[in-house]
Amino acid sequence: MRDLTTLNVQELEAFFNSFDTVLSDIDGVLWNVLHSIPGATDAISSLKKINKRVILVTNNTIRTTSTLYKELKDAGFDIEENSLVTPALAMVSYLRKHNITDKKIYVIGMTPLKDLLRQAGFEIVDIPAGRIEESIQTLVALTTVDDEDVGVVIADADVNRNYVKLQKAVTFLQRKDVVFLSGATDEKLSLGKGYILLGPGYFLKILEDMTGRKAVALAKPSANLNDYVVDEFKIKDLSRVLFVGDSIAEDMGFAASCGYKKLLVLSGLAKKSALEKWEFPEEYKPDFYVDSLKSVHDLIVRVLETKVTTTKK
Amino acid sequence: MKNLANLNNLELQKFFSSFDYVLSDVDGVLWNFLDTIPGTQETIKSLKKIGKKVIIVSNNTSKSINFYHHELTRAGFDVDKDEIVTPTLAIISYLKKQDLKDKEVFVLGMTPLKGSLEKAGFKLAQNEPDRIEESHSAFGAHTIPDDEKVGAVVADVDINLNYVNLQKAATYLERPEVLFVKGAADCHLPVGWNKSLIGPGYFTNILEDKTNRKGVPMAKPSPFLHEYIVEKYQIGDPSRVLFVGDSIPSDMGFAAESKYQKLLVFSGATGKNVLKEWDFPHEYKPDYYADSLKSLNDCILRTFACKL
Repeated sequence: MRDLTTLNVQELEAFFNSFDTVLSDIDGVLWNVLHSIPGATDAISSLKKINKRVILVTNNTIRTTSTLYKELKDAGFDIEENSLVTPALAMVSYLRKHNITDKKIYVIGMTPLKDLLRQAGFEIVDIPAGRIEESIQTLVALTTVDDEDVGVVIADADVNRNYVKLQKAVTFLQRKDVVFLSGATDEKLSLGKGYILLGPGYFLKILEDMTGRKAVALAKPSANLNDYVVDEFKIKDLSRVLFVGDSIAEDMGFAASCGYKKLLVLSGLAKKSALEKWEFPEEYKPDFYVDSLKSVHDLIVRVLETKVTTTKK
Repeated sequence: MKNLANLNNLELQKFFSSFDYVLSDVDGVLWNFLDTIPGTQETIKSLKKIGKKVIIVSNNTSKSINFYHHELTRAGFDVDKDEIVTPTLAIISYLKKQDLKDKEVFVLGMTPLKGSLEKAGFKLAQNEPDRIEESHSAFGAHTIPDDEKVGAVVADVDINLNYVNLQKAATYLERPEVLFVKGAADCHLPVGWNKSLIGPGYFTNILEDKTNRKGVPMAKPSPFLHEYIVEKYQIGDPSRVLFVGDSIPSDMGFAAESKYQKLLVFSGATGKNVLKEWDFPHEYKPDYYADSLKSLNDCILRTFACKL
């Protein structure tokens, strides 16, 4: 693990020549909940200037891709809408790739995900959030009746997740041929300012435990997400991809299982202390780390200036 | 483990002299969802005739005691209102002993439990809505703020439980002085013959895992429920209690921990096959077993024929 800013110019050139694509996390790397991280927009522009393809990856499905794209653009990030990766996009791709297009999908998730699936031509089955009558008979009638037309269950982030929705999913999943997909699997939901809340992983575990089945997770740190990235962006050599992230478990773990190079930024979840006392698997160790993307921008500028100077000579 | 039906007259006399109280489970012992088990009403009558104190103990908190009493009476069971115990009563008794003063209780539970708590004089904290705006900021706004007025969290079965309320409970529980009490805490909710749904235990487990705290359990097989029963009915010697149940972990386990005598019936959750291969802790083995509670009545008639 080396501090990127300690590399000399030759080492930096070698570093920048070692990858063609940058896969970057968003929260904690480009911005933190409410505000952009200073220098992050410059870093993205500089990376493109030196001919790196930039792809942004987030586990967050609370915004539609177009909303996310607009927010990024408004914040000054120079990226294309088709270079965004979310679990929602990966789910659509997975279902198409596996020819599961004529079955209904039962979704525990929010409107952006459901809209995307509908736009992609899928029929959605869901249960509206809200109270049901306090009777076991009503509960049984609502949640234990199967529907053979349902061929997929998706368990994704849902602020309006409830008992009835979960039980309905359990019922559909009893049928072995029903495909089981999930988005983010963390037990922790970080809402900035140090607030750690219950994450989607707890509820996914209930479904997995009740049914004895494991979901195909299409979110970091699952390597399943990588299949989508590789397919969609036609990546031939995984070692020529630099993954930039702020979470050791989720981002570095993901990058490790995919075989990417790893750059850890300290502008989000991970703190310098985590590097000094490493408590994660060895393979999660980033190749390099920086305080934030601003450093990446500054380093690119340094390398380019040196090149110009050398050329001028 | 003795088959009740095989006891000879002398053994039966000794058996009936060995207990003064009969604590009986409901589901799987008196009835199975919609059907009462034949002969069980007579058994309750006979037990009372031979001078035994009968107490019904159920983990079912989704019915109020009044409603339960009404259902039992309508089905022919000769049971008084104050002869019924559910975790609700134990929860109320426990909370009354803590020094809550005017602190509020945040309840994850259904109307019967909430109604009982209010009747007992507790002020309930307001629950979060059933549905919120789909945004992290709305979720945070509903679940992050603490409220010093809340002094206890009671987590029980709630078919309308949602993420927002579960997280709110977790937020309150981050404050160490907030009491944490659990009602029904099984991971399965039986709703029919061979059918069970996600149980409240999954959610209490989430709360315990997230907050690193253990809730005080008030349902079978908890010793707190045993304490409540012993106190309420002034039971001096637990060995003079015969516990009748159909579930090994919750009934036989409860009885074992409480040092009651144990009668396992096969009219509910457990089949006879367990006798061949006992897969449970040794101490959960029942002293006696029978097809159903009716067998107990047959034994009473055999033993007390002239007295009844």
